[in-house]
Amino acid sequence: MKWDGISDSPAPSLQRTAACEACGSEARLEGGSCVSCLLLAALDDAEETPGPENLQWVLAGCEVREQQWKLGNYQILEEIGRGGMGVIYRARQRYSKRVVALKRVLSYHGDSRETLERFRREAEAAASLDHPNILPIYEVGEADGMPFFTMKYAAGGSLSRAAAVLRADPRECVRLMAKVARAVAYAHREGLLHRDLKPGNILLDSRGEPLVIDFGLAKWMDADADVTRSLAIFGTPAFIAPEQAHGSRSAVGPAADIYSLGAVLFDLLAGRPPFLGDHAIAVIRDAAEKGAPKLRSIDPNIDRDLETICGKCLEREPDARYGSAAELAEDLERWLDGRPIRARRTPLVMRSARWVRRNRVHTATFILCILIGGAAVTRQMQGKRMQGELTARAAAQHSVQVLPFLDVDNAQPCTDWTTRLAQEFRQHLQTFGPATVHLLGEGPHREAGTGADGAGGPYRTLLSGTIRRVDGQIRISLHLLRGSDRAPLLHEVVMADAKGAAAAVSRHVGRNVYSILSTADLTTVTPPTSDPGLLAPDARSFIQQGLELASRRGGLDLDRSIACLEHAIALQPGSSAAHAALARALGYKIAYRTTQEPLERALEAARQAVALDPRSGDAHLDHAAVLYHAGRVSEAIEANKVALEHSPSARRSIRLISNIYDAIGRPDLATAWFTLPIGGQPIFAGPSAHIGDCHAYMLQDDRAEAAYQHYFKLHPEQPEGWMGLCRLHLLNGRTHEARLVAQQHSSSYRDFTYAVQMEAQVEFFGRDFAKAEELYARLYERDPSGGRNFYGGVAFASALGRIRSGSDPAAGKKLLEEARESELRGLRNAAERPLPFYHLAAIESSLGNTEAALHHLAAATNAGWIDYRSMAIDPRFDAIRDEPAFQHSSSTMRRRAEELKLNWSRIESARAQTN
Amino acid sequence: MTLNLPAATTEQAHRFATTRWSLVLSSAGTAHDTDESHEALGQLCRLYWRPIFAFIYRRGLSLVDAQDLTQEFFVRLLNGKLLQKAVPGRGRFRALLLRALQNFLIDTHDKRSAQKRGGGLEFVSWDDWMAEAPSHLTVPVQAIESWSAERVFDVRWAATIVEQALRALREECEICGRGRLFDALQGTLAADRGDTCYPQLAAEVGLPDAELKRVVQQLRGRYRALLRREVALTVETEAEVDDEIRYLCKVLASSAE
Repeated sequence: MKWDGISDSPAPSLQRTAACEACGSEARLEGGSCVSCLLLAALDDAEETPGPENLQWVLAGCEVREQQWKLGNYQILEEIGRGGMGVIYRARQRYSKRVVALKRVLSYHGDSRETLERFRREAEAAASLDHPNILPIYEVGEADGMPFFTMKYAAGGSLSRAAAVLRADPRECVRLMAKVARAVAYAHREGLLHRDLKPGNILLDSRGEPLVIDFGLAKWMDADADVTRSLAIFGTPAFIAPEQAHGSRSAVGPAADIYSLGAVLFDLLAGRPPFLGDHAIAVIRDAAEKGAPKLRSIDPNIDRDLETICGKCLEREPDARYGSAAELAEDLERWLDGRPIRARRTPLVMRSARWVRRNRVHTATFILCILIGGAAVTRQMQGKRMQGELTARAAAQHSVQVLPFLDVDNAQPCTDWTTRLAQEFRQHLQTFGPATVHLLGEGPHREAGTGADGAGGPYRTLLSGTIRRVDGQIRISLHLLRGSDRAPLLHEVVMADAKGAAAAVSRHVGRNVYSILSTADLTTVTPPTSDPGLLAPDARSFIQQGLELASRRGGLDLDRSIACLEHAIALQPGSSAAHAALARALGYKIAYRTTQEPLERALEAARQAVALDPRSGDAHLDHAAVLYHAGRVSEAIEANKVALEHSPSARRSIRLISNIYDAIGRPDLATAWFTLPIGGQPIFAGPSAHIGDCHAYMLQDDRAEAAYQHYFKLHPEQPEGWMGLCRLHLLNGRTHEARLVAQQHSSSYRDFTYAVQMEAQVEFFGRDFAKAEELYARLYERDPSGGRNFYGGVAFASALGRIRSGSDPAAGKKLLEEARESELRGLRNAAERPLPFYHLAAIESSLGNTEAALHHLAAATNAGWIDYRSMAIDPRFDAIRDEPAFQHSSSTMRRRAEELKLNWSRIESARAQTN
Repeated sequence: MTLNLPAATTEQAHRFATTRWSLVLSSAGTAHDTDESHEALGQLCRLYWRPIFAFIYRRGLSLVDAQDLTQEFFVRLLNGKLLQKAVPGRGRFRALLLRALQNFLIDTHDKRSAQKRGGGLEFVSWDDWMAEAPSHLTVPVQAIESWSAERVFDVRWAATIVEQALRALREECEICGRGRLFDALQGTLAADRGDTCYPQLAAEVGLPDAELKRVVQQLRGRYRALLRREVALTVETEAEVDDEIRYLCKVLASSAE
């Protein structure tokens, strides 16, 4: 391997001289900065050189709030690559401190649990590969609903970077590709195809040895199965076999990887891939219609045997290529050793003859099929056994598994109704021909199909949906999904009378469903997206980048995300997806930067999204989220239910609706939604900190504790688990224990504001005001309006105001009055939420305004505030604690909490019975 | 959001105060191998391995041999023997290290003719070093091919100093949760030639014009301080800092000829 010895990569990336215009030096850093000019900047020493404090002061003051950015257990260090559907970062694992490369998949369908699970399965299969020339995958995970995996960080760059230097050394090219071919052969033996071998997917380690990445994962970089279309949008098909570019996934075998290996070798030796074209489609067409050019026609100096080897890999017919990657590796090794190679290029005459013969065979086969088909039909009429087989096959083809429908009014799976629907549906479908309809848990018990269109599993399709009551009737939203990957095939909404609704639904959609099931290839049924923002490559790319940036939730990222999405809208004003994504980003800004400023824009974007595509679940969901931020809680719940009708298993919907119920004092419904079994199992694995909070509100501390413990074990990188435990101690008067927990953990979670806030609250409620003041002062300095969404509604400003009014009454009063001002300003957006009233009550009480405090407390109680246990130990309420009205509010809250606990146990036992 | 700003930075300052190369030299000169100086030297090796490797490799060795020799050089350096030999002239750390390296290569060349080295010696992992602090230096191929090994060493040295200062600055920004703001503004750090388009940059990072200018000014000032500190670690007196920077700029500029 030829290095220049100067860069980390075996090849310098700059091929053209790009001398700095200012100083003429040619040494650059990756961003293009000139090393010499960066040195000169330090020579320019006229001004004073400030210490780190000045810089930090200025940085802290600017209005871009970013958090240290983490994904799962990883701290992101820098972005090192970005493609159409994925981003790669250099990242540090939190506990081992190991530096890794983290690849995040950006996918529209990342929301769907099934997709994530399939991704996880395939990534885990790839992670099981153990070969010195395959880059090891360390971990497969998910953050913010988008999957990611981590792998060894390879500093040497990729073959595409090194290609220019390698070209001068054909032996080295062959040596590298022999190793790559061995690695691919190993993976093929393990049953894994790569599907996207190209120079960018072959990295080099510090010793210049090749490492193949992304085994079998290439397709996840684009959730659309339509390779041709995604290629046209995102990449060059220069290294993809013709059968892969054209055909369905099932036609792609090891031979496609062998073609790609040949194309990479061709590219390394010739300095260009075998096929060039103005656009992807032209390249695909050429690859399918013309044979690959001879290597020596491009560079006559290349060894004839290498031309033969490349030619053999690049044959149009998969069968004409090397029989295995191992055979290719062997030939490359023979060439390196100077032994004669095995491959012989088929002479042109023979190739033409084979082409004609193959086509003739195709024609003949076609005719034969018709004849045999006719004969089979005749024989079928004669033989009962044969007939039985065919019926069974047809029944398997027309198979539907009915998943429990969801009663969105009551957050319950409606088992009885689903059973009736399955019966009606079975009878109705069988009037058209053979069909299998089973309920979940009945019939063959195997996982849904894994074949390209579900043919590999017992059920080709799944039926799921929601029901709710509207204007005295029942509104049923029904989805037919492909069994293999739950891709949508059909969505219908039916209104019916309560009595006979199941029969009405069957009548309404039965014929449609049967005709879909009669289609041989279900992939042709999947409705293509009609959103112009997702069809146009440039707009789509902006939407994806915008969503990815938004998911980081940092201030700067949110602003960039918003800019990306506005750009997408400018490009495609008719795109519902772009508007919905913009509404989402603006909503994050409202929630994470505690500002109401973008609210109107967010509402408008969400309204547009729904208007442009009323059938989009995403549009309704983002609308719901914005309505919630606007304080319009009941409208938000309604919009969320509509969102669920359109995409019944969306995790985001469930999470949002659960959070809304939590915020309005309905922990019973919040828990019911969060633990709702969909398609037979809960959508979120295990209890979370959120569920812990709900149990604590419902006075079930033992269950809360179990939930927090469980969450802490699963997610030690998040502070919520130990924070919950700490809070339970506090609520139960165990201040000492609470302090111990906070002290033990908070120092490891310094970059989470919440963790510091928990520590502050322990000291505040534990009445060590000096310590509490120090902590709150730091928090307040960072974010004067922050903190009120935390446990007990203890905002930084009101806590600090309460503490200071003891030592410095004027300063305390000023803080409290400012907090009151800001709360009153925001009140118009929170009419249905109890928190602002509760917060106002705390402020007024701290100011000594008993009457106003009691007035707001009553309003908070009416709006649903139930956290009386926090209130009992919150120093802000000291001034009014002895008032009868305070005690009345407190006991009302307690009574309500008891009722909610009862209600939750009713829901729980109802669920247990239906199971 | 991080709240304990001062702790991290003082710790860093302390670390750097004890890694002055003069400390390394004094202990090497008197053969007192203290833990502190050993640690200091290890630190410097981690920072400056790239120029050393680049120099060895430029002398025409294979990749693997060059890596092995670099490792061997470090082992000898950490044993203190090489620096003892090189100390008499004193001078800047860069020049000293290069001299030690040249001596070492003559030495090993003699030995190599007599016996083949063990090979594969690796007391640090290259991958770890690269992953920890990747370098982003790029130079056109044709330029490198015409350079002497000494010039390759110096250019690589200059880049190491600059990248080290940038990394330290980024860390300071990251501590207050502004890592990405730094990424966006990194391009403004080079000597100001009045070509920064503030309105465009302001729109990109979402800050008002005036505020952006203030941030850039602070970043530049801090960068200057960090780079000078970085250089100061490799020279004996503060007065030599400017000379050393000028020398490196000259090497880089002449590399373009």
